[in-house]
Amino acid sequence: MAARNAGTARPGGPNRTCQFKLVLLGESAVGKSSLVLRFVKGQFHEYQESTIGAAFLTQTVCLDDATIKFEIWDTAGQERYHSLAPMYYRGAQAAIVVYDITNQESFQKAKNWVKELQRQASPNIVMALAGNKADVANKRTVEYEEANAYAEDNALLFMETSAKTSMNVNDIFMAIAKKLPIGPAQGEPTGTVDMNQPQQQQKGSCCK
Amino acid sequence: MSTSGSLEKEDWLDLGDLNNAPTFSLEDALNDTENLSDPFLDEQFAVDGEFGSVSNLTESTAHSPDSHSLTYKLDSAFVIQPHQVISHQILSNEKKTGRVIAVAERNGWIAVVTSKGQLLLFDLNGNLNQFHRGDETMGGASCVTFSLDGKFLAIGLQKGAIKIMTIDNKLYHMIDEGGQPGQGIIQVIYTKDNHTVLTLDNGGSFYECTISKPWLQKRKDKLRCHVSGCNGEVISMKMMPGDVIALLSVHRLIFYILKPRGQILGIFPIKFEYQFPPACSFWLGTPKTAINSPLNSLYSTTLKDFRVCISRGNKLAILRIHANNFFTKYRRATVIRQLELPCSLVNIHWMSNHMIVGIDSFGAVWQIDPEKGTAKKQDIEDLQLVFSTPILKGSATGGRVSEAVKAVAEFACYQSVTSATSTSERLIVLAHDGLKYLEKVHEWEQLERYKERNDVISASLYLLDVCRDKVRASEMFKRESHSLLAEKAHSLLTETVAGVGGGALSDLLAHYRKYIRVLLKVCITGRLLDFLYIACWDRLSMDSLSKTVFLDHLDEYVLDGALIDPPPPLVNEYLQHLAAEGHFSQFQSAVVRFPIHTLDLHTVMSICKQNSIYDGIIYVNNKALNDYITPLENMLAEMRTFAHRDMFSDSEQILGNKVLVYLNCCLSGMAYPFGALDEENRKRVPLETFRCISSLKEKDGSESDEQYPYLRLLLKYDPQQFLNVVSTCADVLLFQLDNRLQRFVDTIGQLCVNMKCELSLIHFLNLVVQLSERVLIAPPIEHVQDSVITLLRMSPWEHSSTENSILTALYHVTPDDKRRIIRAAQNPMRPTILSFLYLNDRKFEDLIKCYLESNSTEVYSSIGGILKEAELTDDESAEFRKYLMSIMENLFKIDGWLCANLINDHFRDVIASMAKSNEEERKMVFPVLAGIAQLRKVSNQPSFCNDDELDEKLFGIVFEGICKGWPSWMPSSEDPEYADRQLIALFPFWLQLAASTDFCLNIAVGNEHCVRTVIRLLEARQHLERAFDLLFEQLEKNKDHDNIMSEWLDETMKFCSRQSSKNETSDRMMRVFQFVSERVAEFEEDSEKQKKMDESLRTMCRQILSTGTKYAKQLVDKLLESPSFVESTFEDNGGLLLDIMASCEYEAELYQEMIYLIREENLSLAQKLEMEVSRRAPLMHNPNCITCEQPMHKSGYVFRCGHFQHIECSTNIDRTCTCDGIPDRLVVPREKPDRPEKRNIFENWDTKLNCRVFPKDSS
Ligand SMILES: Nc1nc2c(ncn2[C@@H]2O[C@H](COP(=O)(O)OP(=O)(O)OP(=O)(O)O)[C@@H](O)[C@H]2O)c(=O)[nH]1
Ligand SMILES: [Mg+2]
Repeated sequence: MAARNAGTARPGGPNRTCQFKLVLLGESAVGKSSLVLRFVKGQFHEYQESTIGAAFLTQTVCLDDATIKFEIWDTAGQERYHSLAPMYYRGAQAAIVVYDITNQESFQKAKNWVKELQRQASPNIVMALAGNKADVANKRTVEYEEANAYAEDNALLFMETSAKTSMNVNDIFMAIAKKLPIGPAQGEPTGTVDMNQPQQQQKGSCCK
Repeated sequence: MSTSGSLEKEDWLDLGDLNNAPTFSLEDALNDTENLSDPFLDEQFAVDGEFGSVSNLTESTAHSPDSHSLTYKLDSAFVIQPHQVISHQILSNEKKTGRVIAVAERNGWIAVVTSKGQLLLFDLNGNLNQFHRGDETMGGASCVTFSLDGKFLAIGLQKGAIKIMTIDNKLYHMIDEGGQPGQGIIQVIYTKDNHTVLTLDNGGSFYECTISKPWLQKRKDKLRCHVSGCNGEVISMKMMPGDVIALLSVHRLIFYILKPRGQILGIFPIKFEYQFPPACSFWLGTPKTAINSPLNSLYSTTLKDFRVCISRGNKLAILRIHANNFFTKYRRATVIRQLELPCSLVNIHWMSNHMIVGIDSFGAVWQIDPEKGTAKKQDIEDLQLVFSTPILKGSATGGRVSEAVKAVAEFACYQSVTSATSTSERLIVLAHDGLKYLEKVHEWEQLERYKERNDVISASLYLLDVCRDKVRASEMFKRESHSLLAEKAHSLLTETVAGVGGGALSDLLAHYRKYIRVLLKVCITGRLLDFLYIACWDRLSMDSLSKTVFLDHLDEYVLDGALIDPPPPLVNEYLQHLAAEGHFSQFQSAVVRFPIHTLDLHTVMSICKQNSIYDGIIYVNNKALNDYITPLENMLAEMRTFAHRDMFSDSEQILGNKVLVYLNCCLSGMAYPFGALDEENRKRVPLETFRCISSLKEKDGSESDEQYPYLRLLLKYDPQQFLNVVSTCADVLLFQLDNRLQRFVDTIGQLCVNMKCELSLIHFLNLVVQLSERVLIAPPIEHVQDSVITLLRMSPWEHSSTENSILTALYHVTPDDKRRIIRAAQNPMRPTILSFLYLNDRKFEDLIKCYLESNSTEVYSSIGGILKEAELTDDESAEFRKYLMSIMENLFKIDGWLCANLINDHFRDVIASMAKSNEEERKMVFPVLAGIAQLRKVSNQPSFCNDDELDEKLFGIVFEGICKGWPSWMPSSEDPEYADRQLIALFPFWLQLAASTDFCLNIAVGNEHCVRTVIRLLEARQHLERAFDLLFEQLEKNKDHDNIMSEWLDETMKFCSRQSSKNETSDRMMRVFQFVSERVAEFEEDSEKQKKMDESLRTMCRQILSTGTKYAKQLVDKLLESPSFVESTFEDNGGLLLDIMASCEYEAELYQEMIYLIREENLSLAQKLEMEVSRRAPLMHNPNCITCEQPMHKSGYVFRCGHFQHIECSTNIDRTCTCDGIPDRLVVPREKPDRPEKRNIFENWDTKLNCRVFPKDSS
């Protein structure tokens, strides 16, 4: 009765469905929840409540050859939840680190998050850096070039986004989707076995 | 045809079907003012947004932002080397030989020509090998070039001739006129056949001259003019790979190909910074190891990586040439980068894949990175370039040069800079102080320079970057770099230990800091760990100061996990150092990053226990004892002491979170805090952990008989996060086996219901939804149901998300026993949830019943919602409406206003049935009807159901209700006159209905306080006399209450003015006036009161006046009768008189204005009319009828088109002419509109040049 593998894989089928865990990290009020809300529901709230703990949402996107279901963990940016973050990013195949382009401090925090992920998350996690609130560019304190250079140095996907105008919101998720390993169909050997992240390897490349 | 000079990155060279149009010649390309209509060509170059944005990033990445001691500076990328021997010869003989003008190089020969037309041929060592004395009459030399095979030399002369010399100094051939007659030569180049030269003259003409072979009898050269000066000013040309010739004109770069016939491959606009000469250079990629030779490139057939760099002034563009697409219709080039530089370039040269050298107008040298788009001024002396100014200004030919050539003359240096043929990494430059090489600096040289300066730090950091591919270096150097780095590391260590040779302690400390940081960085990131662990550690740990500095700087590397297999003594020294310094958080992060065997377990454990460093405890337990459960149990036990509280201290919060993260790791088979478990543990640990937390009893806790103590504890601590733990590892193998997840969720559900904690229940529901969405469990219906019911019974809810969670859960999980949930949702009433439940089953009636039972006012919006949004089928709708009709009376009762809205929106037919006669029933429907009346008023519909009789009856109920004060939703008041006011408020809209019968009047009379209403009704029913009497009665009745009386006075006045057209009015007015004057008289003694009365009298006068001047005369009469007026002075009442007069005047004015306005309005109409009258057809073209062609004997029409037609000949009903039938065409169409003036494309050129660019008619 428990449908433990209900998603049926069609081996080798042209359109496979893969599930990936994605986590959003970043200082409080940079717009993580707003980004997710925009991506999942196409909405934006001027007064978005601060997230408590973490919120779970899903969204499916279609690539040319696969359908990707994102299981999104939108974490809380407040400091007291910081120590819980590993719970969400350790199993994740993708992470978006968000900062607010009008807030230099949030960019510093973002850099710390990137460092933490590099040290502690799965080594092949796909990381993206999002400079949110690009619609208020007149209050910008973090230059595009600066962030872009940093992202390049650290091999991160980078975009400036705006949950308000929805600029680049879908794009950044799509860009991540394209970078995720869409593994071979079930039954085939899965190539390299990642000793560090066994369960994730099973998840990330297995098509449900 | 467009020459499309668009600067869009993609398509600038898209010449369309150029190849199919043989008529498009070079001349056209240079000179097509006609075709310049393409707006892109007139635009400035800097249209691309990228300009400027990248230009200022001139710093290279060699600077890391850390701190100054971890950065270094690269020296200039180029070096200038004067060729002493040649320089000496050309400078010392300048008097004899003339000034040097141009230079060329090939196969180890350097040719220099002079202003006296002489040629000096040196070998690379500077030996003068050949010397050719020129012929003064032919003018000085202007340019020189070698044939590609190196056997010939062509010298261009300022008076127009070209000398061809052999390499051994024989005059091989002479072309008397290499360009247009009378024009000097400014450039000569050889083509690949070695027998054809291409020439440019200073008139801007471009010639191809095939030199006849001496052994052929016919000694006539084949001279072909590709473009002549008056048709386009070519300034310079350059041979490129693939037989392409780049022609630089004043405003374009043209890619041209000679064979089989001259043909254009592409055009690029370069119209900026006019006074600087355009320059271009190419790069043809070769296999990595080969040295790039410009000469070889010309012969190369693989044109894969073919790029061209174009510069003019401060703009620079890099194009990729798609040689495959030559002669096809596909794009032949793409702009890959455009930059703006902080200087004005006059010459460029592509030195290596990543490096372009530019020389600016001051002779400064710039390094340009074509990939990064950066430009960096080099820290070397300026080159004092020889410019070709006099030649380009045509001093030898009387200044007859093209304007274009003249324009760039100031900074042209095409002839004094040449690239070495064998390597692209060297330029040969003619400067005023001699001949120089400009060469790229090699990595070895850079290293050597650091060494010379004794700068070990820079040298090692530079090498480190080379090793890590952070700076560009040749393959060879890269291969060597690691061993060089190891060497440097040794020197660094030596330097470090050498100390500062005495001095203050702080100096020594600074010295250590400076060197040890670099040493650590070099050893760790440069993979020299062994050297670090053994040599460095041994030497540095000997001295306590250096040891401390060393340990201090380890933190980052430890956290990065960069210390692989560190020696235990180092690890323990480091950890103890941290503990001693009190850096416990670093200790916590560091301890888990060392291999367990390097730790001194005893020390570590005691430090951890003393300072509650759980990470360390966990780590040691896990790794050394392979025990994962004990630390968990210990932490849970600790947690038990505070979990029940609402607020936690920071340290409690940290511990709690740690438990959750640890649990998450253990359950999902990951190592804590990072990394992986081995195969065996990966199976064992999750299961053990699961058993531990889901155990029914605490291991040794016999003291409490609570079930599932750990689960309860975790749920109590933070249900959301704990359930998130479950959710994040729900898909691991552990849970998927044996149906564990399902059972676990069941257990949690049961506990949550048991604990009756709102937050737990919400998050349990969320968890169920999440897991069922991810198809990991089948929803546990019973537990969901119990949870929902438990939640529904709680009141009030403390969390805003509760309702939402319940709804989502019910949406995903269909409960078995809905009735129980419904019952729970009814008490307390949860409308949203009830609606959801019923609407889902389309049990509309049941839902409404629920609302009715609780008398909830939500019932109306619910009904409205169902009717509007539930998409009822016809049957459902009929049934539902029927049901609603049956409960209508109940609906009337709950809330009149809302019910009125509902009825008004959806049940208009009910209204008719509400005309009840029984008093009780009337009372019941009254609030609803009052609401409807209000709504109708707002929407401006003066009727209830479009039936006069019923309307009267219905309104009657409203009227009666208000008048008698029946209870309703309307606000009520103690004030007895409140009903009166409410009724009056109804009137502006409902008066007609109210006054249609005596019904309302009778009711109103019944309420003694509704005097105003009665008066209005009387008036409306034309009982004017009675109305006035009643008013007057009020005056008399209230004569002692001044305020009330004046109110009634107002009323009376208003009444009078309303009825002013009636004759009786004046009498009434006077009656009132009389009354008031009498009142005044009564107060004779009381001057105070009298004054007041006087005042009101005057006010009344004014009021009477303000209603019109009709009574002015009578008023004056009456005033004169009044004693108080007669006896008063003018000062007292003058104002009143003036008022009377003013009011008359005002009225007169008003009338006048009115007349004026009427005239004004009519005037425009009159004018229109006049125009219509005077509108005439244009002269008749032909006095004969257009149809029968007979003259105008009979009556006919003249049409606006100028035709005439007899009435009898007209058959067209709309009376239009048969010519084109356009009715009423007033004006004969204008001649073709004036064409806009041709655009002057040069208008916007920001140029000092005072000339026409194409002097077609200047000669
Ligand atoms: N102008 C603008 N405002 C934004 C944008 N994105 C988010 N905001 C606003 O920023 C505020 C914070 O957004 P949240 O999405 O709650 O931020 P968060 O990162 O989820 O914050 P935590 O949940 O506390 O971690 C909200 O008031 C949003 O309306 C954006 O793109 N432009
Ligand atoms: Mg949030």
